Amino acid sequence: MLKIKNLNAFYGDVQVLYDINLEIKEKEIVTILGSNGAGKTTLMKTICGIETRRTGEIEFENESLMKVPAYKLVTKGITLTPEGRHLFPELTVKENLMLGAYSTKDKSNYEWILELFPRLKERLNQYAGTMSGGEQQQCAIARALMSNPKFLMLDEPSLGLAPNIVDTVFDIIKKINKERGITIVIVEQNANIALNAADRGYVLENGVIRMSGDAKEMLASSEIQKLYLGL
Amino acid sequence: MTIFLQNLINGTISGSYYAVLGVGLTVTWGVLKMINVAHGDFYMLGAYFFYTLSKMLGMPVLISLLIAVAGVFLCGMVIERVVLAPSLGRGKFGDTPFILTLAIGIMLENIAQLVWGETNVGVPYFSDAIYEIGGITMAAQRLIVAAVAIVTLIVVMYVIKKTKFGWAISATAQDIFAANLMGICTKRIYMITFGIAVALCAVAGCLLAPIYGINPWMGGSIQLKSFVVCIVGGLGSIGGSIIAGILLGIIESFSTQFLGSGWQNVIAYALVIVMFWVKPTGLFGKKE
Repeated sequence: MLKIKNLNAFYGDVQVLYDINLEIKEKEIVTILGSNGAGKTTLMKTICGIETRRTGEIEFENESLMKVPAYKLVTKGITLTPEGRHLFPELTVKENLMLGAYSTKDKSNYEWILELFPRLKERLNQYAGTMSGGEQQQCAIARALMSNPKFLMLDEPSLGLAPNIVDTVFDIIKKINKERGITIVIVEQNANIALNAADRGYVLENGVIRMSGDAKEMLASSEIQKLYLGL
Repeated sequence: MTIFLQNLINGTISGSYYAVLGVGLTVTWGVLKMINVAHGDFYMLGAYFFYTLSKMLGMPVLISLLIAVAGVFLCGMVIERVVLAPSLGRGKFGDTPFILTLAIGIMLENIAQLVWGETNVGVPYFSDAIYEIGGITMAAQRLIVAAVAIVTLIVVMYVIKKTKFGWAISATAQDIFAANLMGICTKRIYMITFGIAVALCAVAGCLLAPIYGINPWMGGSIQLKSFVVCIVGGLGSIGGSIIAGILLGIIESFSTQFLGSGWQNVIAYALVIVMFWVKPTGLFGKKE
């Protein structure tokens, strides 16, 4: 579904991603692991064409994304839930959700999303900035789903959340994948929970892909255990 | 008592225009994150467009008003796209848009001078009627002016708070990165927002032209008042600008009564200084 070939990315003159090659198939959950500063968020932004200058090739459903401006990705079925959520704090939850469907103009997902996130249903008229971190994360995922995406990228969905809320969020992620067949990419520092949810994984280190493979095998690999699972 | 009421009403009416102008400037700041020092010159441009259409070409007042406002809206969008857009959002050159608006202002004033001349011109009142109720006299012109201001403010508030397009404007102001991800073309939002902001100036320019006359430098004091309204209301706050605008109008009206009209601009500045002492973020501003 998404093919990345020899992707390089730069902030100004500084190169931050080197020769990235990866492929994500339909209906998969793929996780991209790595420590702080490894380039995970940069990779997400580069796929969207935000902030960085890039060379190489990004193909989505056999169509190049290299010349597509960021704001047009939604209409192609690609959505990113950015790190730190980036909700519109002074708009209500409902207005945030409606903006999720801004360019697709298709609100058919609304009822399903409210069922998926009962917490949000109770808080539709509350300002998004006044909610707790877990609720904001749910709102960010819900907002992304409003555009009816085929391909959903989640950047650090567990960041700053209490462990039991992380479980809730990942249960919802798995449910989205199963019920709607939405392809999901999860960028995570929390390797344990991400590998348990994913089918496959990649490890990013200093802007280079170091490892890739089946999620179950990666969980068992001694190197991953040592570096990312703290075992 | 009648003097008090008379001043209150006069102040509210001129204040409603400061509100319209202040909302324009505050929206420009909130969305484009830029100070527009040519704001007052679009007020002048609107007045001249109106003068050209209604007096020189003899078109009906309402049609002249609509065309003049639409004309300034278009000019604003073109100027944003051609002059400002290339410099906006470039961290390293943060002051460039500000200086560009300075240049735009100078150009507009000189163009006006070339096209319409240096002398004051005027347009007739829309209505010469004068009403008197309980000792308070009120020219119909001022009532028309107030009604248009109120309708304009209501329309702007409605569009921003209740329509999807308005949410997109708010979203762009609050988080441009996320707005892009939502599929909002933020460049277009910038362009339209700037157009709307200067169109608000044009509304004020057209309606106040019969009262104050028209010349190429009429935007200067309006620019000052718009700044005052923005700062007192809290930068980026539309509701704050409306309240601050009306407040400024009322304060000016009373100060003219008791101190003479020469003190108007001093009072406006004093209001800003007091605001900085009491609450630097403005009435409804947020802490940064």
